Amino acid sequence: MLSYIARRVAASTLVLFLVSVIVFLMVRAAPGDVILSKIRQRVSPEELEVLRGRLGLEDPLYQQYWDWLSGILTLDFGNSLYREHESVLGRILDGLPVTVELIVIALATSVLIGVPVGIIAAVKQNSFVDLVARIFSVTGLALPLFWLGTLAIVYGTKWFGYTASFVYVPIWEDPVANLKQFWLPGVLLGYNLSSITMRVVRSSVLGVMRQDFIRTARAKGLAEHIVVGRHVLKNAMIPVMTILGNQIVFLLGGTLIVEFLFHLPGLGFAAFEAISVRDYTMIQGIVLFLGAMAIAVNLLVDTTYAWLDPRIKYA
Amino acid sequence: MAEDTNYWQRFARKRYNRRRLIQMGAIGAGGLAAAAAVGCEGDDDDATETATEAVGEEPGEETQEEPGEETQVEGPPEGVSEVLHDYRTRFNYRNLANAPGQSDEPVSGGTLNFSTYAGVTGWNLTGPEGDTLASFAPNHFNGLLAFAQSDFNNAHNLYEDIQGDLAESFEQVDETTFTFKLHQGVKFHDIAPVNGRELVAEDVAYAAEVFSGKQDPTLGFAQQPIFSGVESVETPDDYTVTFKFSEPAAYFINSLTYPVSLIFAREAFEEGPEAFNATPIGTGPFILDTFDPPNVYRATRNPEYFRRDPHSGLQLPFIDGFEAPMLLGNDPAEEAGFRAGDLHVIWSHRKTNFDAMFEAFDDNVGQVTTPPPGYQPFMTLKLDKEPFTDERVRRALQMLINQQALVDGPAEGLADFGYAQDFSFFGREYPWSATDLAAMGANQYNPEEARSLLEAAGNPFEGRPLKMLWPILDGLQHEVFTLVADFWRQGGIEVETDEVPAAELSRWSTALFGRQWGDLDVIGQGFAGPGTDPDQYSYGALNSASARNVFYVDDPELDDLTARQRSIFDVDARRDVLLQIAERDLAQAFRIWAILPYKLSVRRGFVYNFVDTIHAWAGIGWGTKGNEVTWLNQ
Repeated sequence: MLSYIARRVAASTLVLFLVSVIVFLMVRAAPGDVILSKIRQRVSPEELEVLRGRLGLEDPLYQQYWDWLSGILTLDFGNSLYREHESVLGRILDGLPVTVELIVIALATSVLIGVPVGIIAAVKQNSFVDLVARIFSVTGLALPLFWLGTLAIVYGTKWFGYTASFVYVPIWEDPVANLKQFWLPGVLLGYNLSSITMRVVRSSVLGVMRQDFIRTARAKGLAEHIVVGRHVLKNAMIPVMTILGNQIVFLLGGTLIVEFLFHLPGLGFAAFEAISVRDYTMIQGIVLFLGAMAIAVNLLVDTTYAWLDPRIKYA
Repeated sequence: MAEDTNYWQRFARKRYNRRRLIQMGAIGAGGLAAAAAVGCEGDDDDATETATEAVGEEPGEETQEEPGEETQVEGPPEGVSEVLHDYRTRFNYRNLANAPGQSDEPVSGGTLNFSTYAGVTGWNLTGPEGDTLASFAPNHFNGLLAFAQSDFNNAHNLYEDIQGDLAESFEQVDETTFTFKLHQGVKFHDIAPVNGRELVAEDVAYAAEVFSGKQDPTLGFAQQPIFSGVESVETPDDYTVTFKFSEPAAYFINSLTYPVSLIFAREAFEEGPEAFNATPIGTGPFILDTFDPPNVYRATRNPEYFRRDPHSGLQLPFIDGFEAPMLLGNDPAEEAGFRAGDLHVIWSHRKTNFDAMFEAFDDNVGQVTTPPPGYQPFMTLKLDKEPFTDERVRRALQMLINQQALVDGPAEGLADFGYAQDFSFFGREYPWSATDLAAMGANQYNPEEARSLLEAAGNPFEGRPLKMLWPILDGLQHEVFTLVADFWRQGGIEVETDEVPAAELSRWSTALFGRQWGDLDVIGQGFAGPGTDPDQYSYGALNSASARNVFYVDDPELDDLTARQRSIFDVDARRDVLLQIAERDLAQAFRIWAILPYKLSVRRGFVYNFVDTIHAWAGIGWGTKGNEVTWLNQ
């Protein structure tokens, strides 16, 4: 197991290196740069050169890359090129609690809705309940989050007195105000994801229920809730673990829409803003950080398989 | 005070000259007919005309009114729709003086909540973001001059309302010499390295030197056009500053009210760009608490602030501070914030939204304000590229656009025809009407004529699409650009459009400011200024040597005219030249015009002195003098 983890970590390092190279080159291939995002009047090529030179953008690419990478190795992500006095790592650490809180609420919602509905839909396959559950699921997949979020904000305020503040309050400062801000975007995100969770749970449960050992359990005279609760669910959970892992990875970069709509300054919002102004160091820092998080989550999910299913061995 | 006899006071007293009106026969005919219809008497020196007369003014006619005068709704003047007349009358700034509680003495205290944007990266007044900082920096800094702003000012003609800011008084000694007497005892914020020391004349001289670009030509992006002509700055004592120009500078005094020429301390600047950028250390009404994009901008009252309210004599600022979530551009969140009571004011882009917000609370106060010429959706062409070098092609593109349909459609009636010249300099409360523009030689909607012109130019778009790019900055602008492309398609031109979402805004900036157009032909624009003097719309925008000429207009006739108007102190003579500039610009269709939408804002009934004017946009904080006179009575 340990050697498996060591190999994965080594491979992850290589992946991160490749991510760093790709993101470094891609952001520079896009038209425009941070200087042109700041100015509001025409400047001569000479003035542009001076302004770019101050930010090191006139250095050769390999020099810029090495300067950045050598900083990363000492956990110095550098400063934003757009807001020059803002540290990239500081912005990441500021945005991380926002994104993590959204992910936690969204995952909890996804599990709380998706798992029971998926199980009921499977157990009551092709019944009216199954039909309703599937419509619920397809609806969640079909409704775009930006539209759902906009409706929730506009009509939530107009008709239901939704009054969450649009100034972010950290959970450690005022938990009640914080949860008032986060519950709705988290639940909307979670509902969106629960559709996938529900479908995976349903098909996974259906697959397990057709296994021989389930027939044997029933033949032994076990009550249906015991068959489902003790035998089906435990075996059906591995695909669910996989999908939850994928959902975490998706959410690391996928909270942008709700962050923007509900004005929550998370990592998605930071990345979006950085891309719009070609803030190279900020984009590189955030993407690399999210890449490392995604790799760590995948590694965690993979190692959890062995705990859930003793049949799985890592060579 | 020498203000009583200076040029600008004489300017303010001057009546608008009819000579030009006569020259512009069509304007006069249309305008006088409208004026006759509503009984306008523009030459009456009595300053108590009714509001009805004001809205029925003939083109170029100056009107003066007592604030608080009841506004009567009558039929609209020619060229003004019923809905526009209704809104700009019912929600006219004059009515603010009648709002409940307005006659009470201002109350100190409370936190103002409004929405702002994250469009600035720091506080370096001298850097490339100098213009953008006009929305933020006046909260923390002062300039030499400002224009008056309160619910009681005739804020629509700022040339009547120039007032001292850091300057206690100012004097135009001659056409090249301007002297300012500074207030004594003005303190910088108590932040290192300045540590609350007194502002003196030397600070003004130092800031002016940096702004002029003489110290470093890459500094003073926003201020160079104002200060580059300064030959010397003298400081005979700690409270007197004299600017000497090499050429007559008729634009100087007005331009100083443009809220970018803000005075900073030398030691703060010399700390280095990073420190100067990180913390605003000025003399302004508020001290920065938090600037945390994209979350929130907060500031608290400066206890040492030097100014007093000119009306009540009370200490400014009235509010303890402000909290501004950076929500601009996120309309649902802004509207939800306003409905929830978390925002005290809201700026809407459309009539529908304005109506909805206005009805959200019973005590709401609405304001429909004449827009600044500097913000309107229009198109800039690649003027050095075939076929746009051909005047016939440019004119045809303008003639294919049905501006009236744009006013009636996306703007829901609350817009006039677009053109960026400072109409307030002509004593006008409202923008040029369609009739005025036609008389000034604007190319009017005429698809048949447009087709003839294109044919005469050899049908340059046959087999060659016209490529257009615009940014999605606000919904109304986006719709206007979409419809403009459709008008061109109706004229037989194949148009390829590309909308640049916020995440690709850098691409648009690159194309426009960096002149890396690639194969683009047309760019949809929103900013045609800004400015507080016609110089910024004439020399700034149209002179081939100006850094603000991002349209790359290169026309010897305009070069001559735009340079000439800078040194003309005679108001009528300068207006004449400005009209010649407008006529040349419009006739040549160097830029393609669409509409000029009105500013629509709603504030809660307990908010006072949070006003929009032509040149101050409370919604985005631009030119609002840092909200220093705003007060709350909750």
